[in-house]
Amino acid sequence: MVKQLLFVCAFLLLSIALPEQYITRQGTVTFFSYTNVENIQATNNQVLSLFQPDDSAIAVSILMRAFVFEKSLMQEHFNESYIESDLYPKATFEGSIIDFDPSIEGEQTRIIKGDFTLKDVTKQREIKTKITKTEKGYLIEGEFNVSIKDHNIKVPGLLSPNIAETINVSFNFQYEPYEN
Amino acid sequence: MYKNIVFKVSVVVVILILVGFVFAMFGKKDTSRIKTKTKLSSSELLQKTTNSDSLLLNDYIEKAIEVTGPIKDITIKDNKVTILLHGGHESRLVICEMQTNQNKYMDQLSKGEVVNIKGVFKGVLLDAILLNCIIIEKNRNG
Repeated sequence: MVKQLLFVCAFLLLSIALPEQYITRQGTVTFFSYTNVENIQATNNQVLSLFQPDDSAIAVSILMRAFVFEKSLMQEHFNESYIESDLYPKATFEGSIIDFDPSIEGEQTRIIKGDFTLKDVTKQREIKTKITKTEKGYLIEGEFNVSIKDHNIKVPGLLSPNIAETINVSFNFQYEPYEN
Repeated sequence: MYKNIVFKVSVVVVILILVGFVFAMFGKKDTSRIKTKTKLSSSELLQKTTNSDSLLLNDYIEKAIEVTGPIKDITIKDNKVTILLHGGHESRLVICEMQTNQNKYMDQLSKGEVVNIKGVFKGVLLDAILLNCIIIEKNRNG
C-alpha cells in the first residue's frame, strides 16, 4: 500500500515537473522577396519547433542551409554572401503566445511575442498567428516581415534592385506530442 | 581566313558560357552524380551529433553522404517526400528530404525497413538533416 502510494506521488510529481510538450521536426518556413526585377522565393521544410501549451512558450530553430530555391545560383549567393551560413548556420525564435487559452477547441488568433535572432542580431517581434487545436496536437501559422538592414544582410549594389529591402516570412508548424 | 576562325571560336565560347550560366542558374544537382564523402549508419551519424565528434560533422556540410538505417516514418508535404530514420537515439532522428524523382519508389518502402540513402548533409538541429536524397539500396532483413 505504501509502495503504491509512493508510486502515485512520484508519478504526480513527474507530471508536474514535466510540462506537456509538442514538437514539429518538419515545420515549414517560406520567405518571399518581391521587386520589379524579380520575385524570389525559398522554402525550408525541416524547421524544428517546440511548443508548451501550459506556459505558452514556443521555440523555433531554422537551419539556414536547408532553404531550397528555384535557382541554385541564388541558393549559393544566399548561403555564401547574404546569410554567411558557415558563420551563422541557424536562425532562432524564442517567445510566448500572449493570452493563449489551451482549453479553447478549434481556432484562436493571438500575438506571439519573442526574440528573433538572425546573423547574431536579435530583434523583438510581435507576430499575429492563428493557432488551431487539431486531432493530434496544434497547428500554428502566420507571417511577418524582416528588414534585411536589421540583420546586417548586405546586398552588392549591382544586385540591390533584385532583392527587396523587406522580406516577407510565412510559417506553418504542425505540432505533435513530444515523447522524449 | 584567320578572322573567320577567330569568329567561329568566339561564337562557340559565347555559347558555352551561356550554357554554363543557364545551368548554374537553373540546374539542379543530381545527388547520384555527386561523389560520396563518407558512408555511415544512422546511429553512427547521430552519435556524432551528441559527442565530441560533432565538430567533424562540419566537414560533411554541403557534401553527399550515405546513411543506412531503419525507417521510422515517411511523410509527404507539397509533393516532397521525407524519410525519417531511427538511429538508436530516443529523441534524435536522421531526416532525409528526397529528390522528387524518388517519389515513384516510395510505395515500395515501409516502416522498419532498413534503407541506404544518399543525400546532401545540411547540418544538425535536434535531428541530422539531409536534402536531395536518393535511395541507394533497401534491405528488408537489415
